[in-house]
Amino acid sequence: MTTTLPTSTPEQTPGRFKSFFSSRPVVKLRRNKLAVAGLIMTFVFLMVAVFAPFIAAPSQAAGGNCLRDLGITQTSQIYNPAGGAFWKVLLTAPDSCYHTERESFSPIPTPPGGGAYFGTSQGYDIFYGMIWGTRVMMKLGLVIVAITLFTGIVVGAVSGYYGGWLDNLIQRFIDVMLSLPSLVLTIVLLTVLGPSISSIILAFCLTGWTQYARIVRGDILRTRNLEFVDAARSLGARDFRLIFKHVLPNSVASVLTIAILDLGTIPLSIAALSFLGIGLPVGYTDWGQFMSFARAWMDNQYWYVTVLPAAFIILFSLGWNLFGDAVRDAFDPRTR
Amino acid sequence: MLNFIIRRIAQIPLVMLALSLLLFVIIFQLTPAQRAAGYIRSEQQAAQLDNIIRQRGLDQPFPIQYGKWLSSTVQGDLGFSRTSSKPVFDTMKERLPSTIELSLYAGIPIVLLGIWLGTLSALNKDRFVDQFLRVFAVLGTSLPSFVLGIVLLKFLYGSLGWLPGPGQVDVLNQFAVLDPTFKHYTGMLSVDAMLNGRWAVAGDVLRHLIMPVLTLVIIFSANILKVMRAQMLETLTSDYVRTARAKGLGNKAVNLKHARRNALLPIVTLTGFTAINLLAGAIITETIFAYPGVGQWVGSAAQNLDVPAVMGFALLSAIIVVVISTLTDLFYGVVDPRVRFD
Amino acid sequence: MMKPTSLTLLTALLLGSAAFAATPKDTLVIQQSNDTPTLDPTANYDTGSSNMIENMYDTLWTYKGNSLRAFTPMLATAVPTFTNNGKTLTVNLRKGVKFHSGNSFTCADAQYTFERNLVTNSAESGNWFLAESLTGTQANANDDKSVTWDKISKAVQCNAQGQLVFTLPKADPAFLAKLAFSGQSILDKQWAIKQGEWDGTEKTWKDWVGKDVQGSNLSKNPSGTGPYQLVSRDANALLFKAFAGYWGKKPAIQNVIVQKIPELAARQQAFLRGDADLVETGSRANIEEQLKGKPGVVIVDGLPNTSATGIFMNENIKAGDALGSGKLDGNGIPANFFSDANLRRGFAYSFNYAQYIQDVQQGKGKQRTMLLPDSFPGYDAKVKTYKFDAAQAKSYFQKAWGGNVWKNGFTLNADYRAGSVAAQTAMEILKKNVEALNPKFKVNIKQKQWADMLNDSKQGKEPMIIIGWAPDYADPDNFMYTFYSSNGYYFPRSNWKDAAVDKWLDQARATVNPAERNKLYSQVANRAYEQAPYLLVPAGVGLYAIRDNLVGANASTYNPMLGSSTLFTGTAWKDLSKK
Repeated sequence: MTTTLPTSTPEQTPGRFKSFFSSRPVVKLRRNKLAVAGLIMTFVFLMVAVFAPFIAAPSQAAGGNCLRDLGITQTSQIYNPAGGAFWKVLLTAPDSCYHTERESFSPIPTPPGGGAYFGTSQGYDIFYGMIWGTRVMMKLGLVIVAITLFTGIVVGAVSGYYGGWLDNLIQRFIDVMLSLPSLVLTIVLLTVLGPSISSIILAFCLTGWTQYARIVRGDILRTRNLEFVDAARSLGARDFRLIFKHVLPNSVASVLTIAILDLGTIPLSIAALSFLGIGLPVGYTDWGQFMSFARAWMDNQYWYVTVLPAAFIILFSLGWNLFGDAVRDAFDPRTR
Repeated sequence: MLNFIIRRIAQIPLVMLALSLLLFVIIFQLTPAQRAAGYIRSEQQAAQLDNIIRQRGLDQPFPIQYGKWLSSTVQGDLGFSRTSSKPVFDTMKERLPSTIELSLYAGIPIVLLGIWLGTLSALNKDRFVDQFLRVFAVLGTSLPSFVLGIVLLKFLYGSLGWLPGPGQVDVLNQFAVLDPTFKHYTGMLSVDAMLNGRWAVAGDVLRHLIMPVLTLVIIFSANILKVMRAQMLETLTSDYVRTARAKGLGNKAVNLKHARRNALLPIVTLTGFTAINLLAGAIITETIFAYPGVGQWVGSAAQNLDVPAVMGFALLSAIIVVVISTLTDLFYGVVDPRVRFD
Repeated sequence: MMKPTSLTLLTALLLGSAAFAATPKDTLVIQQSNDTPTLDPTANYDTGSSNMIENMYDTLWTYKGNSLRAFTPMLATAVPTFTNNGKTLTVNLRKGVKFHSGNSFTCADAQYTFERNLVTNSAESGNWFLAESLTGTQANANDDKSVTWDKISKAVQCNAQGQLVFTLPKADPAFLAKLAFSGQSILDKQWAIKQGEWDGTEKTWKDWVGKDVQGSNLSKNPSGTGPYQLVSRDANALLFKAFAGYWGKKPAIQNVIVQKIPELAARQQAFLRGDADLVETGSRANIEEQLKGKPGVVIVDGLPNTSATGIFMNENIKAGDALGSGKLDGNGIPANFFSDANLRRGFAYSFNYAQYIQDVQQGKGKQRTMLLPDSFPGYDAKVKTYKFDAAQAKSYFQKAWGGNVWKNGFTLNADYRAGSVAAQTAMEILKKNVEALNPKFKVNIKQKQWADMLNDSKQGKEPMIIIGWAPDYADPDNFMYTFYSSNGYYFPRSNWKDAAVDKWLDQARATVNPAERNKLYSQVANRAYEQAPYLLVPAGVGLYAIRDNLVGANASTYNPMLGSSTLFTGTAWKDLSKK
């Protein structure tokens, strides 16, 4: 049961980095080719997400309001790091930039070529949708996982450490939540909240924290009676300090692995909801919508409306899964 | 053990009560007008918005509406589903067998394939088979069902035309099914068709099932494969397997009798999970393949805020989840004598 | 025992669908995307249900051929004329008609039907317009205490000669058209009572007021006088067979199967393979790109469109947040922003009608002169229309609000109904053109859930919305009053009030002479052109696709008032056959 306990003795940062890179799990990760491939893939997606405005630059011709809301008139102006638009679009892009550019208002797909590198689906530029969609997916995944992870850890820690009626109450509540497929709960929540970025985040956070809480609680129940915790307690350590300093770090590895996998699966769940027609508003840069558009155009000549969005979704998920699996293996003491 | 079962079953009504309360609280965040809109199909009907609210009592306070729902539910009336244009109970009775049918056709191969491939992968660790299966496992878990479903439809149906498209049965066989002489014994269409001796219908239903089943099998068996492989690797290196080998037992005997049996334990839990997830996955799969099960219905019901339908499904789901997890625990106890029910 | 079983199974599996693909000649296969909400005429108020009900039930009369003006008798022996200054209508009923249950049709059935419709008159149903004619109010007895049993039973009576007599509180030129709606189909009284429906007496009527009968036992076990009767139904499909005791001409099609296939691509495939005769074909783009020109497919194009859609410009906006700053300072709009006619004209000149027709309607659209379908009586093709003209738009925007609009600009927040692609596109086109006129013009469009949209638009909170109207019955009043009168249903959404128009519309309501009525409607339309209360969205031209062996479905048999007109051929099944 001796996974890497973070040393409480303060160390110099370079040394810490070094020890991190040469720690057993990380070495195992570095040796695993699939993990490296997964890491590279997620890194590429991350870069695409960050630099989306420069890869699929918004244009004036498509009639969107992105450039207007950035306060500029020419597409070329966003490439200029000296101008304010460069930083604005990079860091706080206005909402209008997340609306897929329309090449036409005709629903008939047009093949790749000309201005639309990937063609159009329902009149929307597939390339713009995919690139900015990466940003949306990445952003949503990170925000939701961060919130659910935090909530889950806190609730799980409290539940596991204090036990008693509080633990019982929390666990029964989780039981109730888990007795309904979370998709149904999410759909109901989204229908009630209406389709928008914030309601998606809220809906997923409300349903997503339970699994983390369960795991953390289980880990805490196992570790809290271990000797070093007792020792710390006898030394007079306070409850919260105990939880966060001594008990939690032991269960972080297992929770983090799941969090990494969730970073891949949550965007897909969002895409699935858009596919069902209850995710983000139509016209938002969101991958699921493009899959949904594709359903009406199954002829071979329209391959691009299905294949290209599918490829983005699959590669994104594959990257996180390869990486997440490898992390799990690396931290799993059973597989050496 | 009997005690344990009784206690678990006694839980069901409590879970149902809590779940229904939770859903009601969520749904009541909407204004009466928003809830009434679900009853309206056209602009013309919108003129009647206020009347609908009044006639349905949508503007009554929360406790009264919840109490009404509760008392009629206790009396066995789950209400009327606008989505299916039928009472909720009738809808579930009609559609649940189809979902069970799909889950069975998918579930059995999922578990068997997962166990078999997982074992295969572990026994051939780091060899080609293992590498191949590991890639399959990652791919399988990475594929979202709606993407896989659409891609399968696009190629196997749209481009190649090898398999029939969405739906449960082709239109001509639909005649046979709707014929008054066709008896619906189980509600599972392929089984009923066989019992009626309508082989053409059964074959057609089965061919329609191939794509949804394939979608589910690829996605879910990958997960079982992963766990099975990890478990096998662990038990293969454990002490008692080494002991068994030392005692001179043959490789095959050790692998199958000892290692595999122990590795199967977590699979039992996982099978329970899979069964529950198949129910959840049904919403997407059934929608893509236009399969008339509960998932397709509740998916659109939830979007239409068809309150009785969502509540009815929640109750059904609570029963299924509690029963499956109880069964899993029981089975666990049978396999592993260390588990005690107290 | 086991061997032949698995062998047959295997054969069946391998043969595939090709071996079975031959729909019999006497069988009609229909595929649609949705469930059929109800088979109870009283609850019917949607095209999906109408499509079934109008083939299982008969009304007293129905529209003749493709006409919207002429009727042909069904369960009446002739289309009657009003007596007593348009307040009494006496109907002679057909003799020797049988219901599917075997019961004979009598006046009591007709009386029961209309009484049931008036008694229940649930908010979801279309009975409000029957009630409006017969009891003088749209509401039922729970919501309007003036509705009494006495009033209901006096309105519809059977006389000693077995004739059905309607007594109206005041003349209603649209009454005949209202009774042609399939929701007013004649029910089988004895059968209905046997199924546990209302027993038709005063004693129990109160229990049934406001009752939603969508899922009634009558919907489960229907019995009508129509040419087809229900055999069975399940979650996938409905099966009908021709009714042997039908009073009229025996239909050629003996079996009809209506299958639910939500996926458009699947329906198209089944149709192209010839497995299905009629399918819900999706938009014009889908038909033209994926069905047109394929072997065995016939496209029937150029069909009349009986809905009218307009972009509303609310002249008295009642919501603070939609107004932004609430002032003409470029960051919002004042509540009465659209009360300036020049501004409305500016918007009307900004909409690119031609582009909308080209992109959304694939070139097959028509710009109407008024918010009334061109196939309706009262339509005047000579009224002028707006064209897309940036220069004109600019000059009107410059005139609006004494030049302040042009100088300061505005931010307009417009919503469209979530999921409506046509509405979204129309708004986007308008936005694009308006914003191109002046960089200070800002139009933000966003989608809104229908639930919120309904309520907010009703309360006049939406500055600019796009909504349409589909007719309940073929009478111009159903459109003109709805859109243009300040007592009309849509008034709270537009808040456009014009005293002259109100007067003309009320006159038209009480005028029975068609020429005089038409003149009044032309006056309204001309005034509306000049005042531009709405932006008229071009009307798409209807079309459908059928298999080439289907006989009897063409433009001359297409009646846009039938339930099947929206999704299918606008023809009764009994008039179809296959070669």
